Amino acid sequence: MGTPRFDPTHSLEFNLDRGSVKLSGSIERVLLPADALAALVRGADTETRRDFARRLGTEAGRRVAERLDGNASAEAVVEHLGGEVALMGMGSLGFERWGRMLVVTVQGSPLRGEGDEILAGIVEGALQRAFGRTASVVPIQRDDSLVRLVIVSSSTADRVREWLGSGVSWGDALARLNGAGGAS
Amino acid sequence: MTTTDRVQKLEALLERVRKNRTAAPRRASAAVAAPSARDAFPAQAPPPQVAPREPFASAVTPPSPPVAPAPTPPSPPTMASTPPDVQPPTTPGWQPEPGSAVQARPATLPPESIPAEEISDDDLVEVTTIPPDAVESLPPVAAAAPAQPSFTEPDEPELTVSEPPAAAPVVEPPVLEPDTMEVSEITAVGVRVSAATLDEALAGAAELEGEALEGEHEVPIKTPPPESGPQEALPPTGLEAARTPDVTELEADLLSPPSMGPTAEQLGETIELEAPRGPELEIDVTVEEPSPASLEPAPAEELEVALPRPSMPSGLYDMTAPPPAAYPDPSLAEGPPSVPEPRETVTIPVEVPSIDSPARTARPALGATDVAHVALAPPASSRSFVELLDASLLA
Repeated sequence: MGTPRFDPTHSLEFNLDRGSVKLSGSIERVLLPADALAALVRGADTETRRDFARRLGTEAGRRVAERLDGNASAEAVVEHLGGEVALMGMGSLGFERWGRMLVVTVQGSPLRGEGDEILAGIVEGALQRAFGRTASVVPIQRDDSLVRLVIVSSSTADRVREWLGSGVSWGDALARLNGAGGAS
Repeated sequence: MTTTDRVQKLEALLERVRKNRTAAPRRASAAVAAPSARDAFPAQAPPPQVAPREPFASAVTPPSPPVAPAPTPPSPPTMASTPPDVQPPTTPGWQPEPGSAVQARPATLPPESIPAEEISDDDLVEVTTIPPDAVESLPPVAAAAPAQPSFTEPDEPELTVSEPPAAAPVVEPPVLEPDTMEVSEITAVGVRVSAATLDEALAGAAELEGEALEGEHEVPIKTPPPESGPQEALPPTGLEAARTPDVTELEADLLSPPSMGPTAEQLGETIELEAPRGPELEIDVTVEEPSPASLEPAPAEELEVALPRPSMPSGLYDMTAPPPAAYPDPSLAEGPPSVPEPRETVTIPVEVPSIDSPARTARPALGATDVAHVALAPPASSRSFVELLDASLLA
């Protein structure tokens, strides 16, 4: 059985009589400015930000999991998960494989650099909810419009943060992750 | 004058010279006479330089009374028997210019034409002093004549007197008696100084010969400096005198009026030619005019080329002239043709198919086959996203 295509038709419903916005029949949504959300995230602590982001990702993963099973390919996951992130207005999602390391890219996030941890929490929540894997997503590289997030285990995430904090480039960090994985 | 006459004259002169020597025992005394005339200008003449024309100047102008008082009129030289026909060259006396109040008198009176020059001792050879006794013996007519350095005898040719300034060497100051009258004569043998008369020349030659015999001493001839101007050569003496041309005759020829024709000696005997005999001969001097036929060009011979007409300048051609005759065609020898001759062509009939029923060969029809085989790239990962996720989480 093939993988269904992502169909966002009638995904967003605006009830002007009620004055509500619904996404795919879920609970109400709120349309708010991105800079206001960024300011709010900036003022929250790390755990609050992470919880906020995980909740967004869990809802997106639930919808992906409704359409995809456990044998879904990476392209199918990118298509559906990416579609759900796009409906949230958080940017365009993609995947990169650096060796055996899986890297998630997000292009055009409205929260810019301040929203990288939000994006990482969204991916972690989606993966947890859709595929039942507990993963840690660590931002390793960022430019004006693109941010790269590496998917690692929780224990490895701390080392990567330590490497990047010590000045190791994101390429060397990926090289070390591939080497460490091969050795082990 | 023959050689014998000349020898006799020389002997006579030698006698007179000997007589003079007996009258003037010392030669040095002759030098005393030279300054005697110079004393007329003692202030102006410096001792080393001697006025060359002083003797002549003193002869023209009588000596001044205080220096050389002459109670008796000056006596002529001993050899002067008759008044000279030719006046010796004299230098006009100095006269002050009328416009100048004070004017220095020239120290010397050099000739205008001959510049003053230095004279060495070599120029002076002999000085002969004539004692007053000899002067007194002369006839009164001759004694009344002014003192002159040289005169010519009537029977002897006169030599041109072109005496350059006779330089007197530095001598002792003369000591003269107040009433002593000496007639000095300075004869210099050299290139620049010549004798006034032939007698003097002969006397000088005799003395020179005598001296040469005595001491084998010859007076070196000194080449005068170029500043001395034109000089006159002395007549040769001794044996070379015979070869000397007669100057008198030459001068007579020069002084004689020029004649327009030859002399009788030059003409010689005139021979009258006889009248011509026989028929008269006439020389045909008629000019032969060229016949018109000669202007016509001669028939051209073989290997003859006709030149262009003389009426046309070189390089021009008469355009109206007819063109030259055409050359005959050259007869070439038979040889291999340089250009291959065209080959004969043969027309071969070819069967042309008719247009109505063309026989065409068509490519066999191919069935539907897969011409291109596209090998699709295998999927990058056959594993599912979960497997990839797990692999990434194991790192």
